[in-house]
Amino acid sequence: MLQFAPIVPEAILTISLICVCFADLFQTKKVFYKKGWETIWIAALGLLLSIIALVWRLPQPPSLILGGAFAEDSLGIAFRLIIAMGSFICIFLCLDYFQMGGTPAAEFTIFVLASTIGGMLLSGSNDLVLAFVAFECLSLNSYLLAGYTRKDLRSQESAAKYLILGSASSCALAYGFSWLYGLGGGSTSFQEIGFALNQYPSVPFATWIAFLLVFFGIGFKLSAAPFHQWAPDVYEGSPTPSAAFLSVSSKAAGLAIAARLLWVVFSSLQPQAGQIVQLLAILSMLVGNLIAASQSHMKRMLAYSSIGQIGYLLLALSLEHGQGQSSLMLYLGTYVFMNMGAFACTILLSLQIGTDSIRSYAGLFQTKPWICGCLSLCLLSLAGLPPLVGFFGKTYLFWAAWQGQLYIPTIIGVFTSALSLYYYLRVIRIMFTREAKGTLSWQQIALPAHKEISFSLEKKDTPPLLTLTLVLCASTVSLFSFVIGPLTSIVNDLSFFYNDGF
Amino acid sequence: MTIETVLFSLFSSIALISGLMVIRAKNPIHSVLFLILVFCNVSGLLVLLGVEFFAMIFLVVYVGAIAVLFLFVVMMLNIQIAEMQENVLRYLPVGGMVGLIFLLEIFLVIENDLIPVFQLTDSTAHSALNFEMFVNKIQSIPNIEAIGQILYTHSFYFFILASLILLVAMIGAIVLTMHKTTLVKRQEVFKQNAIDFAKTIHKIRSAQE
Repeated sequence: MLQFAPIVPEAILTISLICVCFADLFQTKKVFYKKGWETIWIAALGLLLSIIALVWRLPQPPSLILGGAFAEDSLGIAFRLIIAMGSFICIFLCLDYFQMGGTPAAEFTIFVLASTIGGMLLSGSNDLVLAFVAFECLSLNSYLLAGYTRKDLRSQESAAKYLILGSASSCALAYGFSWLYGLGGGSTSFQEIGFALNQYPSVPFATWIAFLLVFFGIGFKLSAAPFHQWAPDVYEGSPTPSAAFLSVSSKAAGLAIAARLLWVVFSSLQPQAGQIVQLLAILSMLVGNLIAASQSHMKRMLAYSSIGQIGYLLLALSLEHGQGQSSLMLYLGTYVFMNMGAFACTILLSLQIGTDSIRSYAGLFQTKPWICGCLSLCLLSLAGLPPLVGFFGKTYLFWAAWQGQLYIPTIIGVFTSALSLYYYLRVIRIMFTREAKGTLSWQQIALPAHKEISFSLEKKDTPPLLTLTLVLCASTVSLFSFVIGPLTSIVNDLSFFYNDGF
Repeated sequence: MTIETVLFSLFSSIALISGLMVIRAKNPIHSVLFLILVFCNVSGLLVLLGVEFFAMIFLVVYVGAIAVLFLFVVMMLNIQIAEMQENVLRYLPVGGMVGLIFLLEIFLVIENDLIPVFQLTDSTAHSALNFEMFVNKIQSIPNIEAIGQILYTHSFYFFILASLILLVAMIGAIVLTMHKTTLVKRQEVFKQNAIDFAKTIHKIRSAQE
């Protein structure tokens, strides 16, 4: 008997995707820069309903549906919630950004919705076939998001780069899955494969091949350190809302499938598998945080900082099932708001000063105190300074890692997060202390052909949706620390139900 | 030697050689033609395996659609016949290593005795790999029926998800190629066809004066 209640959130998103398609078709306004409001609201409504549905499903007992292909358990639901929230914020970021560039925003929301569906199915997938199809759904839309502003050469370049490298990593993932299929005795279900691998431990070498191939594919999606080369280029070239989506929702989905594979399928390889993940974590923390210090472009800096952040998340992932997941979820949940806030500020500033270069932020505090204040809050939270929510996430994570006797990785983590304070503070120092040079406003920089648009945006100097998003993120970052206790206790109860028993 | 063995060696050797020729051919069009030859041989192999529906689909989709599309693209883009000779030795060490590793992996699983390096000490290693007895799974229903039974019952949700991916791919292709903004000057076919010859000449003349 099929029961569809667990995939109601995905169904809502699919319906809203189709509604967005039709709403865009029946668009009557000829002036393209006024377009997009309806589609944005439909997509936002769909995501909101889906978040509500997920919250409704959270206390339900875990179950397997779709012939065992989709598992509904509390940890999976938490991952899906985080992905949906990331996309919800991302939808609000896009409208003003694309209006400025003269690109319609409707298709962007379609791609965001479709990749959210892919990511959410990926977090709940309990079957090799569903995992691969959902992974491809997520990846294909990510390539489209990266190349969305096709008039921009950098966007095209980043899409081509991402497409080629991403396809190579998908190949490795598919090859790894085919090994798992063979080792699991012709079964595609994660439990049965995990059971078979535990049952016949005399062929660990073949299991290792499968593990390395699968984690090569997923590590690319996460942009963990040896596979991080694509991230700065793609983030710099792609439109900023896409970069925000790639750094939050897509990574959360990658982490979800990595966690499920590590804790359910490859449990026979523990603790060595965990050590490999620790190695990835250490490399990501070092590479991300060290290279970020030398960046002069805001989006590249955020890309390297997100590589560093994924290192902390991988550190929590490398702990055994039951120890790591609460700190992982807590940090991931706060990371969504910190990173989205930072990207929202980047978009707002780039709309107003016309560039993403960190040097051109000099003296902005005098003219735009509120945006600079919010950006400082988000960056300091990413660095992990005490009154903000990032501090609690990081402390909890390092504490869990220390309890799990990962002494050296924890020390490296603390050391690199101290290093990361340097480059976050550098941006803040430039904004607050330097004298403003005669920077051009973006209206002066924009092409003469875009006069029409610049006129339309001149009147609303602070775009309302972006400002709203920014306020949401900044207030979450600074106020969530008051409710960190209840959040922790919620997060502590999450688990992959179907891991138990073997 | 049975006829199947002869056919298998024939198909597989031609497929391997033409697969090599795909990457060795100087002319990209020859390369695509060799690719089509690979596909044809592989579909022959599929017939030998007894999956005739897949063999047919392979021919229709890969040869009929994808390879011909490649051919069109290569001919339309007018790619110069590139000198690819000098790159061969450069990538040989890395490529050779990867190829060797994959070969060893396959031997490791199929025939463990052939690789003395990774000798599994456990004598029961062979039986430990829990092989699926595919012989037991043979049923006397045709290919298409078997596929239909699985695709539309047990895994129809994968099917729906794949269709969603196709929808998005279609939208993506349109988005990446269509330029429909007010800033782009588009061709107005009806207006062009409705233009009167005499009037046009007159207009230009009057503009020049």
